[in-house]
Amino acid sequence: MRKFILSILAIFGLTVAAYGQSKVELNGTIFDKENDETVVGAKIVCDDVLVTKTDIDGKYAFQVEANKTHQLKITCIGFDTLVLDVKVGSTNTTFDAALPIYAKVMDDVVVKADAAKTRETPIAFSKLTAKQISEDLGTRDLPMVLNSTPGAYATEQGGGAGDARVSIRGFDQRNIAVLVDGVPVNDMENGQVYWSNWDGLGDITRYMQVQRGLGASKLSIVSVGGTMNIVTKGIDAKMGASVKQEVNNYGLYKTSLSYNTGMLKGNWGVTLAGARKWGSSYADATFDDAWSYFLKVQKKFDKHLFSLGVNGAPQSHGQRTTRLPIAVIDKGLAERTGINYLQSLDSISNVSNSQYTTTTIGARGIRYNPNYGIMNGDDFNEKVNYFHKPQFNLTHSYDPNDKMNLTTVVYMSIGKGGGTSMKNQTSRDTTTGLINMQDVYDYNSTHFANSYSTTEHVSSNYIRSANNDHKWVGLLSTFNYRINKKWSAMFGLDARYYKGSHYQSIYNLMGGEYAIDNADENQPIPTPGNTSNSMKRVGDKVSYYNDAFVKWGGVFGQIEYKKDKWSTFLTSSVNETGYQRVDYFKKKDIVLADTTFEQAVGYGDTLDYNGQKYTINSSEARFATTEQKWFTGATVKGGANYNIDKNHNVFFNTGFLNIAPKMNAVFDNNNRQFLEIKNQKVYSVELGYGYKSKKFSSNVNGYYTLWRNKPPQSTYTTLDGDSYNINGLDALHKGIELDFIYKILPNLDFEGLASFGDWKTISGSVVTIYDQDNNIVGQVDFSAKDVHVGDAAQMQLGSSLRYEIIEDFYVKLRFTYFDKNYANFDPVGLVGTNKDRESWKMPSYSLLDFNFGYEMKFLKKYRATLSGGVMNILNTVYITDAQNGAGFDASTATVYVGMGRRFNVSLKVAF
Amino acid sequence: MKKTLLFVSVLALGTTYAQNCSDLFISEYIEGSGNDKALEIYNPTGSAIDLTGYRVERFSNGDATSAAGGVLNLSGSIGAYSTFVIVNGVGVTSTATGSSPAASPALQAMADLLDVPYPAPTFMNGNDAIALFNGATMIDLMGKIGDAGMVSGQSWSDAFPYDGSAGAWYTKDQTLIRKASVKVGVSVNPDPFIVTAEWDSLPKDTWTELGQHTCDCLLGLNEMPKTVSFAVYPNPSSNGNVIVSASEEIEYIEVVNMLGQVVLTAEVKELIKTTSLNTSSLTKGIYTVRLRFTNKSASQTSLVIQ
Repeated sequence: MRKFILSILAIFGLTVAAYGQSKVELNGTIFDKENDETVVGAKIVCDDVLVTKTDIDGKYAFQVEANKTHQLKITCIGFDTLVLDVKVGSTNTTFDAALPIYAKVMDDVVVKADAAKTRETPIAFSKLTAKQISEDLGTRDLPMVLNSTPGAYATEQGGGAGDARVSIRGFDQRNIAVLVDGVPVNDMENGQVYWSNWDGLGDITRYMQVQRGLGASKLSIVSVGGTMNIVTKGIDAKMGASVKQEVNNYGLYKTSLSYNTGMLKGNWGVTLAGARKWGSSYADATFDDAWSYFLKVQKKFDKHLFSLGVNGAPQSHGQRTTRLPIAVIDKGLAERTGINYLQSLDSISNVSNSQYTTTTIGARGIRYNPNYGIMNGDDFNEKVNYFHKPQFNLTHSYDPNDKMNLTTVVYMSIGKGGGTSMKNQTSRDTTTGLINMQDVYDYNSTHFANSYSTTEHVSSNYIRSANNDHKWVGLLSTFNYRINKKWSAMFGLDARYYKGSHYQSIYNLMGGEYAIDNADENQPIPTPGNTSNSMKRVGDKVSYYNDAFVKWGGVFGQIEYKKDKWSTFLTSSVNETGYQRVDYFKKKDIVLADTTFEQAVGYGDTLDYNGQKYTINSSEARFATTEQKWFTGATVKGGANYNIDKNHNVFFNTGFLNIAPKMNAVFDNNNRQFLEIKNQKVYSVELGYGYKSKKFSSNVNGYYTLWRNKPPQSTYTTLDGDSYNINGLDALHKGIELDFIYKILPNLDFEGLASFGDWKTISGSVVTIYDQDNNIVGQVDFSAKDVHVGDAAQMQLGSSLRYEIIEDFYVKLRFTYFDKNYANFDPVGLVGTNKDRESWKMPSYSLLDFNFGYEMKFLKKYRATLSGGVMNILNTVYITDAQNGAGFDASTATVYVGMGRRFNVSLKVAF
Repeated sequence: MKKTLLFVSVLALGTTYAQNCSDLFISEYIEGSGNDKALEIYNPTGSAIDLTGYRVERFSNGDATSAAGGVLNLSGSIGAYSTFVIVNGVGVTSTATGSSPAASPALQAMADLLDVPYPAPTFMNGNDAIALFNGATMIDLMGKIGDAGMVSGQSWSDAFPYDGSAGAWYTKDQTLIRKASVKVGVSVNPDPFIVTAEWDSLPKDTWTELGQHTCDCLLGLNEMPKTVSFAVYPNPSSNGNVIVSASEEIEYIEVVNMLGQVVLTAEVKELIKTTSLNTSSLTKGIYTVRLRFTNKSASQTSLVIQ
């Protein structure tokens, strides 16, 4: 545990000669005490007269009277204020200071262990502070701020709150590790990240660090694209509270509150935050109804620190999940992409399941949402996502001395919720383009299924929810030991146990009183007069019901060596994953002493074996359960940074990942094992160069990542119904990333970034599929050689200009440009005449955003901040996401377009 | 709106019953491997029918509308007592969006019309109702439109509650032949749909009956007075030969098994009233012998092969 003291790193200043009233320079650098990074923009007042701010390198300078003691008052948001006396001699004096962060009692080492440091950690990374996030984010999802880091591509997809996604270096979210306070949050079965689960995260983030590249995390997590470390706020030193109200022009409101007790007697501290978000997102019928809460309680005993954190965001929001043909969205966009507008509309309106519009009505506009209709007079969105996933973290940190630290986090999360959808696709009102919900309601409320009931109305279409509940417990423990000034080591343990329950349930019967479902093979078969088991009501499980069990154990270790201008590391981890699946709707297994009959008996079935009869009620019967399957994965990574001089540094890293398959490539929906399960292998090399000076700093890096055995996007099955993986798809991602900050004037910053990627799949082969008995059961002849990877823009340019017109009033203009963005497709589907065929390339787009903020103080201790912005100032119509179509062209592609011009404004009052 | 009209027409049809042997109906349904799927439409009238204005719609998974299932507008014409075959049109196996295998070229060669791309009627998979429309009027239906049991059920079956939860599956992985006794399509949505009432089932991927259909309309059994007397002997028969003798000149003979399959046909060239029929290819069982006479009357009797 750090003590609340000023750390003076160096004081130079020898009295060589006295010059009376002459002036000398007092200069120095302000550091963040937490991680030794320089603090930009800290305000320094000297003797209550002179005022300056630290520059991009955290440096400040004053001309002061020589041979005198001056008082410096250093303030910066997020840190404690320091008041210090500095004795200045007769020559220029350098005085460095380290600012303690508000959360002086917090910061478990797990979090810090994963944080990269400038000019020391040999990997490419970007850090976004709470200040930057609040300036740029507006009311958007957290990943959207990442578009201002090189190599990232974030989109809002359909535009529902929390539906954003991000890729790094062309690797999608499933291949990016996301950590919140050091705890991994990627889905245990498929690696996905659902940002709607973390709706309040943007408010409680202290900083977010994005480390790009292979397995950047030192934990045993396997990530190909990069790691996002999100660190939440801790206890502030002083009591404080804030209220913030945000609103935007299409009717989304958000009220946030936060309160912290500061350090209480007995070394206690409590932080509380909460938010309520309601209203509508940009697209039609994408309502948002969300709450979020965050609580952190900390207590310090001598060398021990305990911290209990809880956060969650119960939410429900309307989605837009159907990508649309371009002509349905916008005429201009259709024509720009070379589509014959009328011809395209005509063919769309002639296909029964895509009657979004007609040639006479024309394009529906960018807010059009094909996923809703009107039922009983109200908007009714079939696609509603609702989830609540409280996460509990209990952290213990122990510092017996300044060489050792042991930090352990025990965490638990319980997620419950799902996404709704119409059970069956239905017809569309071609005048409005909306789903004929009312027809479904009217049909259901007037029809019967005589075999089941002649008095209750039956729903032949309804809203079902695909539920995805889970329980998750984990333990993460790291031990750090600083052997001496040069060597330090870290060892850790990462264990997780996860149970995911998947089922469909009836959400809304839309006018009927029950639905019929006989998917459960252990449910009594209906007989005349006895059909109630098949008659399902709201909340009843239908279609499928199964559990996934995932066990994960990993160990990791790191050795660091630092000497003079060198800092190097070598890190390695090994992990073991176990998968098992239980299916409650399939026929039961009969487990006997000498053998097991899988999925042998359903309701009414009898198994005859050695003269014994077995049924689902026998004690030998159990729900269909797969064997436990174990897979091993491993990572090795090493790198070195060399600081050439105080301005220049170079770094290098290389690594290898051996990634175990995910649950969804191991067991299929029939509770059977996939054929051809193999690990993925990733090799990577990266080189970087950094330059830092008072006015200008920049990073340039290049990477080369070879990904062998990339999993295909679709599930394939043989004619016998066996699911199989297709192995042998290789991808090569290489590119150059650049970012810089140029401080033109003390109050005028210019930032820029660029990323040039060359991401391609490079393989093609005839893959033969064998069954368990080594019989050939399938063959896939695909070729995806030299084909660009889809679903992420391969070229990115960006810049921003931030001008602080007067103190505490800034304006910021941001420009973003994306190009080389190919439609999403499955490379393994490139067969026959489509071999080696490029998917459709979306048009490039550029955006202009504007933000401003003004902070004023009143009644001495209160601060009011008014901020706001305009996203997409030019109201550009642009495509962010596309799914490749049968023609590999614009007219067969289906797309999401970005949102139009949006305004948002917020007022925050704090003390 | 088209769909509302459709609803109205489905409901209104409850009161109007078509005449026997007066309009087209679905005579065969092939739900085979992959996309080897086909439908056969039969003209039970004595004159050719122009197919303009006729269409087939699929009501998938218990849907009350064909929006998701697809529509095929028919074209061409269908001769008297003849069939019109529609086969799935997938020509190249596609793996880009899930796998959709090509339909067998041999099956497609039997088609009078290849179906349109997905969604279309011949993407049925066992739990989809197939309806034949003439303009706004539904003139035939296989299955039940809006059958709530098909929302998660996979096939209609032959036992209560007929939705696949009990009994043998009839409409998935089967070839179905309309019984010869059916002379008019189903114009009222049934509840429940009992598949065995009008359909006989053949094994999966049986195509041998595609392109021909036996219907009592042609024989006119019930409509025409049985003026012609005839005899088949010996009956039961075991020697591989039977003698068919009638009071009128015989034009055509066909032997039908219990499943309604035509197993033997003979066209009689000469104007004779007695002929012999080689039955050595027939296995033991009960058959129906149907005769058409040169005066266009017809008759039938049963024959037992021992």
